[in-house]
Amino acid sequence: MNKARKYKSPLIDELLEETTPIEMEQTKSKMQIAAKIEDLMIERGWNKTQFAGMVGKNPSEITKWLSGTQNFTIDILIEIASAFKVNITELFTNKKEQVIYRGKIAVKSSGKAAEINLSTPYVYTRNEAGGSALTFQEDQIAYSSFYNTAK
Amino acid sequence: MNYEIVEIEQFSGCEAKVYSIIPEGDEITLYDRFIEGHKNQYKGELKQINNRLKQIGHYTGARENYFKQEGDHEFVRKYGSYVYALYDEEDSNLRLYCIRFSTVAIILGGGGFKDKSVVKWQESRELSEEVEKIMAYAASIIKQIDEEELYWSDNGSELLGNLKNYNNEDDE
Repeated sequence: MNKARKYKSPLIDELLEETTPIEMEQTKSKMQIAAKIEDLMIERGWNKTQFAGMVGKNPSEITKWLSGTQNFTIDILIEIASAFKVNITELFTNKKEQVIYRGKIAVKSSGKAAEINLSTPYVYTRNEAGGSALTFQEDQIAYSSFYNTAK
Repeated sequence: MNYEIVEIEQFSGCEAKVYSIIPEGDEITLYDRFIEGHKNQYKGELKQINNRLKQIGHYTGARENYFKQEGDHEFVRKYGSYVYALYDEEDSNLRLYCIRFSTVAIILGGGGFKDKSVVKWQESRELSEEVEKIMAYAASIIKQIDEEELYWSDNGSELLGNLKNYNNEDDE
């Protein structure tokens, strides 16, 4: 079982050393808010067009929000939180997810590869009510059936 | 096409493995070449790209929404959706290409300057070369996976097998 050789790039180190903790935190926040919005969309079973309709935007704007590059204003965050009916602070929380991978991964170079791709992880997310959602993260397809688990 | 796939220590984490490629005869990765070629003019943008890659590896995974699908129709028809560009910041002019395997792994290629007037990579010679190159590597890597020279670890998170592919008969 050969693993990939670890490669430590001095060029990357050089750039990371010049990055301030604030710059890193800014990037982290943008990407985590995007991830949170995506997770909420999956939980609600909304696609980009549906969510765009909820917040009165074009789907292309939602693509930008989900890209993790958007510098959100407070006004926009309030609109987003309102659409999801959550507190704005929830957009900043990072739920710990337990990712369960398929045991075996099949990748074939057929034209249908896009349908299966690789190991699409199942994400087992605990919600506020103590319920859980088993979601199929890739392509925003969600099995949104909730079922109860003891807290 | 002979190359070695290496894991980039600074980016790879528990959410996604981040790899790059060292072509035979070279000592640094395609991603390092990309940095080297652009650090004088676009250091700020490279820093942003680095930050994003670090987050992907350690905190968010390689979510599809962070990437824009690239590659031509022929490639997608033949192999599927594997070639992507990392979405860049609004004020950025650098585009980085990679091979993405679900949310669990990416293999970084190179990239280049993308003028805002350029809509498609085909309109830029530099970007075309980079996309053609990453498509060629992707085709070779997918072939290796098909032939089980490369495979995924039991938990689906790590690429294993013949990562130093120096005996590819296709080139002969």
